[in-house]
Amino acid sequence: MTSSDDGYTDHDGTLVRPYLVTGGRTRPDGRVLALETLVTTTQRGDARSDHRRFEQRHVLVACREALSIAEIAAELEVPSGVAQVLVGDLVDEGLLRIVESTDANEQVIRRLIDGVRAL
Amino acid sequence: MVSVRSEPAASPAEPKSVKIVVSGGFGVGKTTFVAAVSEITPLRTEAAMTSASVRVDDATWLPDKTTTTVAMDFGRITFDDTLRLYLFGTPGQERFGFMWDELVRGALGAVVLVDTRRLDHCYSSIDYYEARDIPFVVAVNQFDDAPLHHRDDVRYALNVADAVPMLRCDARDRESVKDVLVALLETVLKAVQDSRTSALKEDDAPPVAVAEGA
Repeated sequence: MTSSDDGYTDHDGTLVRPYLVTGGRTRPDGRVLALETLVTTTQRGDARSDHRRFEQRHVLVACREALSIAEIAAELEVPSGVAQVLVGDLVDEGLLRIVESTDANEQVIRRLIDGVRAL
Repeated sequence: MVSVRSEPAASPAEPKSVKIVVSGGFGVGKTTFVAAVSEITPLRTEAAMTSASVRVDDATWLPDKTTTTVAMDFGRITFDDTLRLYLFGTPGQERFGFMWDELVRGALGAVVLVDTRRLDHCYSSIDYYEARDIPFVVAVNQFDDAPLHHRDDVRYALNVADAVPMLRCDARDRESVKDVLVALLETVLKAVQDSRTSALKEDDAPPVAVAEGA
């Protein structure tokens, strides 16, 4: 993953370059993070954010309040696949935590209906 | 009813997220629809070929494949800090079908936004949701310069089941968009209740029938 092989250089840098921050990976390893999956910075992540490289620090600071993968991608201005990889790495290191998702039970849906009506 | 709630040992105000997808052809008003109810200005994210079935891990594929990057706009509604609804505008055209599985996975349901002047642009969305039993509603975005069609005529032209709610809406109007979302959520609620009822029926089935399957 260290070589900048020639495959990249002939093409539109704006599309390819984001993947350099992920070491060329376009997929998180062995974990599916949906666009709406929320992640939040752990205490450890908060304590170490200063020592991380720019885009990781950016994520760790932004996720002090839980954010979705889609929001992180928009915040960093990278494709969602890149955000998935970045987040996956930080989760593996224990610096970010995935917020457990909810199942669509009746109670949740009724709350949504009431909530939308009240908007 | 005796039910043991298994609450995760997380902080009490942990937010949960749910997702609704808004699909329809290019220019049908998906982003306008999302913006009408979102608490944030719709954000844009791009999904590259990561969801395709080709071997994307092989970097030699990237130069050709990144051209199919697709932009999605999304918004958010937070209900009392513990429940967040994300609304994702998804490209509705057939040529983006490859990425739908990833976008739609886990969604409560879908709004199919329709422009009556370009009805064919929503066919693939409707086919997709029908084939997967994903609850959806059809919302006809009434553009000012589009002819007014009777709902039944649109239903006939789209060939959707009577059980699928069809509403006329103005994607610029917050109340109108709220009506569409409530109609969808009620459809989702009914689907959840129906599936629970059928699960109960299976439980009540005579032991003989159960034994047969064992």
